[in-house]
Amino acid sequence: MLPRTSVKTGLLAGLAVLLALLAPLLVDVAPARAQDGEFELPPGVTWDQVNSIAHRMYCDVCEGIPLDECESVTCRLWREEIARMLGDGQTQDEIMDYFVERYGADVASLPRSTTDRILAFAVPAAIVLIIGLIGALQVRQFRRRGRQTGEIVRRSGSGLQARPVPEDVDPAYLERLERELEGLES
Amino acid sequence: MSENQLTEHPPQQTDLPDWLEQAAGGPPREGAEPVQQRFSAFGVTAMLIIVGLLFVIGYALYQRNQSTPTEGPAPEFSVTVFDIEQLNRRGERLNLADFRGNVVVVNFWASYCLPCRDEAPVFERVWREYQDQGVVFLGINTDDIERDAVAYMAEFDITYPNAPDRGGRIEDQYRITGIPETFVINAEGEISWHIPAPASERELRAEIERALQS
Amino acid sequence: MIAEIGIIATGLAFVAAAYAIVAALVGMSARRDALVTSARNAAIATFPLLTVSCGLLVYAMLDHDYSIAYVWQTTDNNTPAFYLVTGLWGSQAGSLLFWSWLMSGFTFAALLLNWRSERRLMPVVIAVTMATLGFFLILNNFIENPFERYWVTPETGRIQPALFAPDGAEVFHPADGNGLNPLLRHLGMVIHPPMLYLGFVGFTIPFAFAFAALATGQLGSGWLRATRRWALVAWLFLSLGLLLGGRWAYDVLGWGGYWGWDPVENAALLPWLTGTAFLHSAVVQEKRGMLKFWNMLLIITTFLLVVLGTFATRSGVVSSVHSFAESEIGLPMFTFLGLSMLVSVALLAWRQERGDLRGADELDSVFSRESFFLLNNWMFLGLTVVVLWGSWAEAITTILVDLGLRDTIINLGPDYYPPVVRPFLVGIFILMGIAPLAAWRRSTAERLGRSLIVPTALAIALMAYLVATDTDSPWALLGYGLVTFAGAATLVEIWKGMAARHRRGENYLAALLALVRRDRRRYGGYFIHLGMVVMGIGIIGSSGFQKTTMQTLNVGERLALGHYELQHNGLYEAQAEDGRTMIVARMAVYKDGELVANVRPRRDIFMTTDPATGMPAPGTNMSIPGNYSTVAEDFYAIITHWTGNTVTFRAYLNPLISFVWMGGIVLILGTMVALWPSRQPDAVARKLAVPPESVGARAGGGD
Repeated sequence: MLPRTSVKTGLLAGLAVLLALLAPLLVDVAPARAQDGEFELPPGVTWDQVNSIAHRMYCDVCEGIPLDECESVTCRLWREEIARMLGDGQTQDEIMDYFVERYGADVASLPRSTTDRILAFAVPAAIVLIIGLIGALQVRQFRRRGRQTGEIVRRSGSGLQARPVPEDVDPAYLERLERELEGLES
Repeated sequence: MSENQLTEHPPQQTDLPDWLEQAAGGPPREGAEPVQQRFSAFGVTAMLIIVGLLFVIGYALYQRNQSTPTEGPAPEFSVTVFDIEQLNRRGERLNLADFRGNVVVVNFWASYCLPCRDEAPVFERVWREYQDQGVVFLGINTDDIERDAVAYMAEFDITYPNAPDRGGRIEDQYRITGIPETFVINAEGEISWHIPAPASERELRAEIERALQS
Repeated sequence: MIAEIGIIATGLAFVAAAYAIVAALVGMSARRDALVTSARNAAIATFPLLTVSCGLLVYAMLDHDYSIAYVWQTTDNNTPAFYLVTGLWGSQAGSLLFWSWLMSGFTFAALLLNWRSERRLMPVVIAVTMATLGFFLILNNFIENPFERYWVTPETGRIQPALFAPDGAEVFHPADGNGLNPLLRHLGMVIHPPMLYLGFVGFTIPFAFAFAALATGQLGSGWLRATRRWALVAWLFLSLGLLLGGRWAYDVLGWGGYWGWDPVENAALLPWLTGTAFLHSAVVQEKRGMLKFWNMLLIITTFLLVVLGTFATRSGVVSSVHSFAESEIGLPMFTFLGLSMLVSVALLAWRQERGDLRGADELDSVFSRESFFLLNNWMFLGLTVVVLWGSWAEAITTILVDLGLRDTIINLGPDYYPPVVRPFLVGIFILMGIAPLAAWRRSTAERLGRSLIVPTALAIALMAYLVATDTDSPWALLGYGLVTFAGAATLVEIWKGMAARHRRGENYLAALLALVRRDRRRYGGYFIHLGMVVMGIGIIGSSGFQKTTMQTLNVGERLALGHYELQHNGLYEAQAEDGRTMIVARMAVYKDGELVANVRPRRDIFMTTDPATGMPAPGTNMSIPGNYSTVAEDFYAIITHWTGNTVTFRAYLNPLISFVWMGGIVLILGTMVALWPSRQPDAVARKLAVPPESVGARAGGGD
């Protein structure tokens, strides 16, 4: 025969376990949709948090509109899912990674993987570097030609013509003369 | 007939009037170094870039103009089904190729799509009838939230396998234009029927029969 | 009747264009002047023909003639008269016809105005303009003909659209039309496409002259002088199109911004970038005879980007909010793009290889003005490349994925552009400040440095002030410093001129007017730069410091953003005359606790008929913001969602955004100043260029 107190404790413990098992039925922990389908934000989550993530994402259904601005049903559901995930304590990176994995890379505004992101910026950087090099070379080439003092080297057609110009000509006069020559060129 | 005005002033000669030429010390020297390059670095680079760009643009255009496949071999794919406890499904991997030799019905749907809700009971009913003839029903869930998809399946008591379209690849391969969209694939793996709209029970049965007989 | 005449007129225009190309080229190679003149006449005849076509289409819209498919697609019985006229460019087929009309109009003017002065270039100019127009006319006639009508076969009752009557069919007259997409029923949306088309079409003219110069070897500055104004006009319209597009998006689309780095927006931006570079670089060729290759490259690139932009917008190859409906013009446009690219670059490479484009390509000093213009070209080219990569990365990586070389595509959205664009903007604004202060040819670092002391000091002072007032974003600091530098340098230049004249006895205002009158191009340029500076201030403020929040409010509740509060005072429903249902929120805006404005953000719901039930159902849903706008900032609210009287609002605080619009106005006014005809230099140049033709006329008896 068990002592009275231990039976009581046992019953209480059993009741507690039962209540714990039943708790999900009594208290809906997950954010519910209200009767008319209205979505409620989980506690501690604001729309601003949702939007700051959604702004970096695209809706798969409407072309080219960021997720925070898109008004389609799908987008609304996706934003609600983001809110739910934030309520579950997930971070922005985790949420975006999940969406990209589930729906494809064109859902995010920038590639998720670091290598892809580096690649995305490296390609234009490389092109710009090459262009910059060519540009620097061109400036150097032009500067070298310009260093031939005392001569104005004019090229037209396929002939190279050098006309020696005296050193003591006033540069302003020279410039005006050049401009007149430009006017005659046709 | 007037003298040709177009070649009045040949472009190759010097373009300065006489008085200026004399001031500059006479006409250009003969045998002056011609400025010729053997090939143009710019030309070659530019052509390469243009060809590359045209290829990219052309490919994008070609892709865009492709329409939904309505015949020929069905694009291959593999999916991981939803975890459904009641049906004892725990994320198995299914490949379309595994079902070669069976008739496969592939249905694209989402939980927020109202016409999908109309056809869901039809599909479940037809599946139960034909499953012992080896017909496989496969539901592909597109652009949907997993929780809602699972709830939808529970609501309509759907027992055939359904899987999310991870990465959006399958909907791209099949180039679906909306949901619901259904494909019937025959035993040789070729698309035997396609409907970009809710399928009626009569049509669905008829097309499955047709695929079974071919 | 209308449709038949329209079809004929458009068809004749095509025939005229095709004839003009053949006649011009044959006339040029066979040296038969009469043929070339006949080609010109055919070319300018396309303008009245297309005026007839467009006029008839507009008449059909005003007359509600729904038997014409295009009229049915873009209007209905409720459409106000204004939108009946502007519906001409409301949808694909009509906007293509409108484009062709504009192209023929520009060609008409260009050929007539330059016939005598650029006679030697004319045959190829005719050929190139008519080739471009001809391509669009192919689209207008054979692929997207706006004069298609609906035909009904009485026995079967089948209705189909076609250009000519199918067997046994009669014309079908629907009682009402489909109506225009509600998003397009706004003044900004009405003006924005024509401005862009004018810009795009406008750049075709300088391109045609450049191509002609390359083909005929007339590689001096003649073609440049002839087309300088055209390029500036095209640039003006393109700028207007971009500004209006941004303003319309801000006012009507309700996402709190004005530029989204959408691929189609970029498609219009790219030719603007190379066009800007071209306008600057052309100055150097006119003044110093250098950068000839650059100018050719820039104008050809601008034209090719125009074609690419048109193609990208209308074919749907890039995913964008601007998507047109599916159509078959993709392949023809791609062919035209490919041919133009190959032919023009081949021609350019050929000329460059022969050395024909070597001008006075030398620099006396790295600090000379021409050196900075050269650097400017490189800056804009780099900027073009990075923006181009952003738009096309997805297409390029899709190929790599399909080839199996990669797993995933790379999609670049609005987060990609600001970091890559900023370095170039830094360079461009520095150049904007320095270049006008540098001298042509020989210039030294000391001389330049001395003239830059004041602007630099002002910039540093401003940056120090901003740091002191807690502006913590380094990019914003740098940005404000740079725009101050560029603005101050420009103002100093203007001031120096005014001061010089004042010393000789004029008062400042008269001095300014006299300076502007004497050198409109230069001072117009300064005003344009000032406009860019003001816009820069606005852009930095509104993008760097934008605040936003989204909250659900019941009646009487407030949300707070910055030092503003927004109070929800009720939601009501109203009907507009055109059948719109408007859900309007009455809101009060409080600044620092005081009521400053009442705004009414609203939702416009356009009813359509549900095809399944035949009953009216809500269709397109537009979000119109309620905006409290001051010079310092905009407080902007939209309705995102509502149930009963509980509304979810999104509010934006956009600092300094009014500067964007004000800067845009200054830019446009500056361009007008630069465009205003002035007397001297042009006339001189033209007189001297005329002699060869008059000699020929004397000898041979003229045309």
